[in-house]
Amino acid sequence: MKNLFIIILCSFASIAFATEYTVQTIPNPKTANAHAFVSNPDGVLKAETVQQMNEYLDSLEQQTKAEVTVVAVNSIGKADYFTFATELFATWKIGQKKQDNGLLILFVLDQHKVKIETGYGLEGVLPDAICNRIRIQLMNPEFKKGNYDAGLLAGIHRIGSIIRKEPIPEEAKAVIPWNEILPIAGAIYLILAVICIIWLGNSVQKIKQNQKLTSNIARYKVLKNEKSGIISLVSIAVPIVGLVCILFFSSPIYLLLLIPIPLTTIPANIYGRLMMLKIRRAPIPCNVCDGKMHILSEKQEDAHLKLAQQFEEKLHAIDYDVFVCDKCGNEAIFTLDKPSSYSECPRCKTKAFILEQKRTIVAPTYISAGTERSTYVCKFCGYEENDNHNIPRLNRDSSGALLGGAILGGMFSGGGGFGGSSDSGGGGSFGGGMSGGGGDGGGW
Amino acid sequence: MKKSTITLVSVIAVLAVLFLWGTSNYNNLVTSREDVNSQWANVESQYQRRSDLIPNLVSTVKGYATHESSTLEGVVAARAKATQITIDPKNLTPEKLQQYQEAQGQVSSALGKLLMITENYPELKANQNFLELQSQLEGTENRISVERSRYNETAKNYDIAIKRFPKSIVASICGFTDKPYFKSEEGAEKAPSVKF
Repeated sequence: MKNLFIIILCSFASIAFATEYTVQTIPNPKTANAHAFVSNPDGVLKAETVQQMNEYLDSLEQQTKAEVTVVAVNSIGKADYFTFATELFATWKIGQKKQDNGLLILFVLDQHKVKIETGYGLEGVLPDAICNRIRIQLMNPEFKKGNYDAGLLAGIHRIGSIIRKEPIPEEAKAVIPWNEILPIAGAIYLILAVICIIWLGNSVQKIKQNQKLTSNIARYKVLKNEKSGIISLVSIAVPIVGLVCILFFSSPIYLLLLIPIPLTTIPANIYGRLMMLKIRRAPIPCNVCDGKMHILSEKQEDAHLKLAQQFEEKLHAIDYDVFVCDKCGNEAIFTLDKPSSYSECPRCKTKAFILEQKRTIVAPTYISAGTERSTYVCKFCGYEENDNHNIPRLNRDSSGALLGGAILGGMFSGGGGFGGSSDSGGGGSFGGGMSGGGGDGGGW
Repeated sequence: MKKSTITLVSVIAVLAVLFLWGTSNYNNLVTSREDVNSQWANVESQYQRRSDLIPNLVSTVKGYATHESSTLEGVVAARAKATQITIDPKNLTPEKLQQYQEAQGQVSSALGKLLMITENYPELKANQNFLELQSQLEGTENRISVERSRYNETAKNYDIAIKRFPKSIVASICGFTDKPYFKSEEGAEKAPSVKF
């Protein structure tokens, strides 16, 4: 609390006595108003001159992107005005970043000095000799008469007309060192692919040795689950970790590097599929004699299957694997349910029962509920079953529509937010330009 | 999962993290070394700018100050000597920088003498061409001092970066070395005095 009091006291004192400005204490016009370019804290310039300058410089900025700034102060103490101008330029970062198309006119009354500091990007348009000519021919004669407003205005207008003649430079693009990043990214992709395969290979070994899994189909199913687990883990968890890292450390453009990560699981996926087939087709010991049973091909197995089973295979509802013993001819049939929209027919027990159509028999109104009929048909035996169920009464309260409308409205209207603050007359800042001590300055 | 696979995967993970850490540090160091080099190029180009102004200045002064040939020759000689010394930023050593700074310092003092004698020629001082050359020279001197101090700043940041702990490992493995600074010249702040 005591400290706060001292700070407040000091700041009052500094307002009262500090006519000697430093680079830090000069008020930046952009903090108060994004369209202001003139800092006139001591009232060296008249208010209408400042307004005139601001309007001119704002339109200049909109047309050419060049930020021309005027600072007029009573005193900067004993500081060197050349160094002061360069430091102020660097502190405020006048001009667009990379283009460095800023310009600062520093006017110091008690030293009788004025400095035109050009940013790197304007040094070609406004070389020192031109700045010198502007200062000697346009500014100094007025300054000598005490017409500081007229001198600065004349200088600004000449500078503006010179800048306007130049073509507006293209927007500088940020350079990303892709040639450095891509090899590293490639190495990471490779490591991921190898990790996936090793992990999956490990699972395959485990499944093969697992005594609890008795049939080929069981092993096949476990491996299938394991494979999709590994692949989805790698293609979801790794990008999430990467996302966090990228957002923490660098620019969002690197997010593009995350897109190929799911592709790194392709080798493991192919390997997994091969292993799945191999496990499913592996010979099994015969349960009658001591021979081996081998799987039959799709064509051969039809002789061993019933008509209904063949039909199920054709519908891709169930896959049948038929194993036949080499020695005794003993046969064994394994079934693998496939994910499909077919269910078991209540009459013939074939998995060929499917929803054929849905029909509205009585349409629902605002007064009464309606009825809908679903017709299920067995593709194999032709058995048909109908199922009637109610459709709820229509509702006048269209809350859903209202809610949707509200969300849409919120998305498109965007009202009352803190949108384009830099355009709406709030605070702002200069673009981020640099100068290298170019320009011209001198006394009058 | 088997124990051996867990170890294998974790070893690969640790190696990958180490590799990434190393490369990102290395890349940072390369970037800051390149910053120093490009800042050095800025310094050199400003000295070059001054050097390019000299012939014009000398010929303008010659037309008015006919009796000052020794001073003019001094400027030309100092410029000729200074242009011979260029430094490749890749082997920027303190000795070479010292040499460069001395040669350019001689140009500065010769130019200072030249500007002093022009005070005696009012006609020359009224010449528009001369006035503009003088303002360009002044601007260039200012640019030189700005770029020199920026160079010193970047070189300092770089030198700190290669000496700080985690990066110093990468720096010493990959052979990053210190960059020298400009020393403020003795008497550089004072304009050379001319006795009559």
